[in-house]
This record gives sequence, C-alpha cells and structure tokens, in this order.
Amino acid sequence: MEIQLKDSNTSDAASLAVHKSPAVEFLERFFRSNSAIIGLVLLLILVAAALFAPVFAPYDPYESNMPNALTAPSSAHLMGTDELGRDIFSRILYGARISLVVGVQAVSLALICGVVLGAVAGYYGGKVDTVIMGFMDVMLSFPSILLAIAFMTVLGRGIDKAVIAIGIVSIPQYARIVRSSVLSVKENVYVTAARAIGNGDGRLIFVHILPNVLAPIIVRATIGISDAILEAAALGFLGLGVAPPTAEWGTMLGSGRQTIFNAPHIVTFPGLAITMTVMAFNLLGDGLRDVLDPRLK
Amino acid sequence: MSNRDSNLLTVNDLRKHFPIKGGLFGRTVGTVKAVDGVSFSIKRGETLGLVGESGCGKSTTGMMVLRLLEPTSGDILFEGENVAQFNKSRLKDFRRQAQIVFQDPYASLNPRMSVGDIIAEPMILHGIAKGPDLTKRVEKLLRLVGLGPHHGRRYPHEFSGGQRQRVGIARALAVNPKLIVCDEPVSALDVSIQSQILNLLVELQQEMGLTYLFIAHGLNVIKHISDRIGVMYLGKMVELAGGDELITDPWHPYTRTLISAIPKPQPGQKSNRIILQGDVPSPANPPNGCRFHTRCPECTEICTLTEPEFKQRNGRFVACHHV
Repeated sequence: MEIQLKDSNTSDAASLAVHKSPAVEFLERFFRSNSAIIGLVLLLILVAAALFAPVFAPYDPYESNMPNALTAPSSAHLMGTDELGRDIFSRILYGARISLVVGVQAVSLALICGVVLGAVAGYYGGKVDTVIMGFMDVMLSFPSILLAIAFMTVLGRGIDKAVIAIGIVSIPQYARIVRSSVLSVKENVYVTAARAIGNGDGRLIFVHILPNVLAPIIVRATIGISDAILEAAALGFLGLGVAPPTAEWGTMLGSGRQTIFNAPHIVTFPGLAITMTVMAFNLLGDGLRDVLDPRLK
Repeated sequence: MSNRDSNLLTVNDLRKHFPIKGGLFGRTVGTVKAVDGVSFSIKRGETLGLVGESGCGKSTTGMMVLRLLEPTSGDILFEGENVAQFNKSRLKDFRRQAQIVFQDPYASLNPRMSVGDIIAEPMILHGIAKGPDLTKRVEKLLRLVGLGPHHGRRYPHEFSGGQRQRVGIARALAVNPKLIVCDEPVSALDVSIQSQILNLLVELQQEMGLTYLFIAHGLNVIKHISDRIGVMYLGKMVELAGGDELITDPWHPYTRTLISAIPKPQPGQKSNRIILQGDVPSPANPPNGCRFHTRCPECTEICTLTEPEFKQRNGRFVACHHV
C-alpha cells in the first residue's frame, strides 16, 4: 500500500446529525419506557401524598377516638379506623412522609459509603481491595434484617437510627456493584488518556471513571429505596423502628396484627401502601435499567 | 548517543518485566519480558519510527517513555532529566511536555465528555488557560486539526473514526508539548483516512516543531514520515537506522522480512516475499542466543549460542552476528 501525501481534507465523514446532549437523549428514551413512566407516576402520587398530607388528610392522624375504634371503611373513614379510632387514611398519608424519607436517606447513606469504598477497592486493587471487599463480604454473609436489628439494639430506637442501621447494612451491595464496574471501566483507553494529560487519582476516579459507571448504580439505588422502605417497615413491625404514636406503615401493620381477623382493613391498607411504594421504585428501576443499559441501545 | 543538546529523549537499557502469577498462593512463577533492554535516542524535531509485530513490546516502550507504565529498570532521559525517577509533581510537569495519541480513537475519548471539554481538560489541569481564553484556545485547536468550533459541543459518538482521531490529536496538542508518542495512530482507521491523519501529523510537526516517537506494526505507514526507524523483535531492538537506509539496505534478516511484507503498488509485480516459519516465541521464555534464531533464514551455530550485541556500525545500529 502506498500512502499518498496529499492535502488533508477536513470532511472525514459529514456528520449532519442534529446535536443531542446525553441528557436530552436520556429523557427521550425514558419516556419511551412504559415501566419507567408507570413507576414515575406512582412515585409522583406518593410524593404528592407525603408533601400535601395536611391538605388531603380528613382527620388528625394522632387523634384517638375510642368509641369509633376498629370501624370498617366507610364514607366517613375512607380506610376505616384503627384500634384507637384513628383515621387510617390520614395515617397512611402521613406515613408516606416517613417511608419516603427513610428510603431516600438510607439509600443516600449507603450510596455515598458504597461508592467511595467500591471505587477505591476497584481502582487501587491489591491489598486495599482485599481488605475492603473482605469486610463487605462479612457484612453480606448476615441476613440484612438481622444485621439491622443488631445495629438497632446498639443504637436504640428511632427513625434516624433506623435510617443509619438500614443504610449501613446495604453498603456492601453498592460497594460490590461500583467495584466491579470500576474494574472494567478503568481498563478503558480513555482512562489512560486522562492519566496521560495529567489527571491525579482523585480526578481519574470521580471525573473519568464514576460517570461511566453511573447507570448500574442509579438502577440499583432506585430498587434499593424500595428495599430500604421494606426493611424500615419490617423494623417497625418488629417494634424496633419508629416509636408507636408516629404514623409509620410498618408500625401500623405491627400494631394491627392482633385484630387481623375482626378488622382486616387495619393491616390491608398499610400493606397496600408499602406494596405500591415498593412497586413504584421497582418499576422505575427496571425502566431506568432499560434506558441506561448500553447493550439495549 | 551522548550529545545531550540535540537529543530530546534518550532511552537507555529500558526493561519491563511482567510477573506471571500462578499456583495456589499467587506466587510469581515466571516473568514476561515485554521489553528487555531497549536503547535509542530521538533528536529534537525528529520522527523516530518504531516497528515490530504484535507483542514485540513497541507499545509498552511508548507507554514507559511517558511513565504510563512503570519501567522495571532503565533510564528515560528527557532533556537530560531521568523521567523514570520523577515524583508526582515532576511527573505532572512532564505531562505538559510529552503527550500521546492512541491507536483506537473509538476507545480513547471519554464518552461522557463533550469534545470541547476533552480538549479543554489538559489546559485546565495545567492552569494554561481559563474562561474566554480557554474557549478561544479550544476553538483554535479544533481548527488546527481540521475541525470546526461548532464540533466542540458534540460528543465523541457523533464523530467518525478519523474525526475522533483529530480530537485525540487536539487533546495531545492542547498543552503545547515537545514530544508526542503516536501509538499506532492510524492503524484503526480506513486506508483513505490514514493518509489524512498522517498528513496532519506531518504538518503539525513542521508548524510546531514537534518530536514524534511513532509506533506502527508495519513499515508501509512508518517509512513515509520517519527520519529514523527502529525495528523491534521480542522485546529487543534489532536494528536502528535512517529511514531510507533501512528500507533500501536492510542489514538485519528480520528487517528484510518486514520490508518484503510491504504491499507492492503494482499488481502482478514480482515480489520476493520472505515467509517466516513458525510463530513468535513466548516472551516469557525467549530463546537462547539470538532471539530471532528460531525463525531466521540465515541462522548459524553461533546464533543459537550467544546473543548478538546491539552495536554501532557506520552510524547505524544492528544486532546480528552476520553483519
């Protein structure tokens, strides 16, 4: 082959395609995914319920009305009343606040710790990796709810403590995903290129590697919120989460279980609320996976 | 090789040995001698071509020159200072002087960054420019490599291979370096685009006084732009000579086979293609004596016993007993 030395031509191939930023492209793909849209709509309903609970709630969620206890759903009480005569619909609206906050906070905590630990383990490898991931594997070897209960007994009762316990317990899941993604992404030539132009380790990890492992992390975190809400509800059900008068779905389930045979609505509606929330986040997560997975593009 | 002023880069006895981990406890059971004692120097403004087949250590050499791989031993003297011993801050400084253009333009650009950001990053990192000055410099660089300022807002996936390679070149030029390691910059491109990129590199060299270490796996690309050419085989340099000399009068048998592999421009023209027998031996267990003796058509007894020295003769270097 003879290479002809002629004038360089600028038009390698005319790229006439309209310029689209990744954000625009993401939104277009997002609104083509049915499960993502359903998940988002359910989530918006929940957020609205939580934000405007005082507006929508027909009764004070903490006001007991003993003569009116355990009434079945009616036009006066949309979802009936509980063993103390409190309006269940109002309590569920207020409970949405706690569940969403617990879910988001616990996942944020787990995400921050998990991303840093996983990125460091994956990027540096060797002994650092062995130590960090060994510790994560030890945590993973316990059932997470058991570990959370153990943390709660040490930390004490309360919503903030439940957040910490659930957050810590779910760190390993994020650390593992981030580590494995970092391991593959750091082998890319563009990471070497970034090093060649003078990036330090910190910028390499946070500017060049992590943005490219975002997709699996976002998907896991979305589904992780529903796990955290379930775990918070389980802790509440076991009497370890939020202290009783507070309207929290798990606690409502727990206190309603004695009357499950003569007033099944007490457990039905908090259960449905939990199911709906978990489903909203799972659908959203599934949809995001479809949108963000480059293999499906 | 001793003239310090005219040489921008001098590499002495550079080695890279990768340990082979094996067994139950990950013990080191052997070493792959990817680069095993390579020496050369590059004058200012010169292009040194480095050729050899896959796995001969030419890319590893290029990566070590820029300290993107840590050398096992050897010296890399850049303007008289040993790059192999630079600490972190000296290394960052060095990255302003020496840059790289990668082989695969599809893999060497971060897909999450716009082309403008990719080109701006080195200038931000080294505090060369910011604000409106930075924007102006990015546009200038884009134009320099034959792209338009409007391309800066686009993302790598919106470009063709040749255009991406132009972006990679602009990124390397952003710090106004003295040395650029071109690691097979055209071998991933279409033949029609290859000449465009090669021309661009030649033009930029003349305009900016750049020095190139140009790595390629075939002589056909390299012979057009190299002042001198080094031929590598199995981690060692076997011949180093001026580009024309090497092509017209190759001394080492391996160089002769490489030259015979250059495709002939006229169909039907008689070619005396030398076909080597067998495969490249494993760099974990290179043959005794001359490394090429297992495949050399001119092998004699001495070649199997002692390793030939890489010695100077008439201003060129060769490692063969029969020269």
